[in-house]
Amino acid sequence: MAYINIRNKEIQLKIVYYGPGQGGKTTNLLYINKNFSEKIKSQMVSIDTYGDRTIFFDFFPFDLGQINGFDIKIQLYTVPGQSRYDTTRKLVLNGVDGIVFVADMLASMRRKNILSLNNLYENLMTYNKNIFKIPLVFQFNKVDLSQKGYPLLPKERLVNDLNRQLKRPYIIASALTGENVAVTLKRIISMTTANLKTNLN
Amino acid sequence: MIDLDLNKLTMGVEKRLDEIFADDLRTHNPTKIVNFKYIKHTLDTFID
Repeated sequence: MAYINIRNKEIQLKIVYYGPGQGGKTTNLLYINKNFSEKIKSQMVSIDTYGDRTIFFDFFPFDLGQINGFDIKIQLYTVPGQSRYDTTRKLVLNGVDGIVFVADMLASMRRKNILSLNNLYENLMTYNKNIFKIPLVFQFNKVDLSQKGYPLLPKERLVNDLNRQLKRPYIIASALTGENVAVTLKRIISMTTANLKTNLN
Repeated sequence: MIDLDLNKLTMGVEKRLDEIFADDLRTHNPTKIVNFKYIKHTLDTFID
């Protein structure tokens, strides 16, 4: 649930990047950090990594400044994708307002994408959140690998596997080259803002 | 009870994000992706 402080005119949105291990969640944040940290005056923090794997989470807060009289603060998180870190994933999802599901386009990752989405569904349920109602954007990542000859899942198969029922926006991207990383982030922040409750105590 | 004008707020947020990500959004505008040879098969990259 978004943190909204009427007295201080502050709105805080929590966006979580979810998906299978080594699918590119951290790479998304690294790209934002590398290219925009000066503009948004913030730095990404990685809490515990092992090699190139996230074993706790990444945290990247930034401030959009005053918009319509409200100070808009964004918090980006990633979760560790490996199945054994489910407790951490649940913790990171606490209070989530919007989700970017980073699916790996590699053909060999088809099953892990599906398992991860099922895991997201179950973990949201523990907070009484419905995957059909929360703002969610799919990012089909690693499209750059097609140039290197890696077999990728066709877009139609990814949509059929992951988005057949949810029918959410999806964006084909390469977190490594930055292709559509900002587009994805803009989209989820926009959807999450639009989803704020209109009547607040 | 306080009413937030969400449409106005969302438009303001989008405008701010356009400013921050200006260079990237110009380069990676989904409508332009079809021109990129290596992913020309992804014509409808961005679907609402």
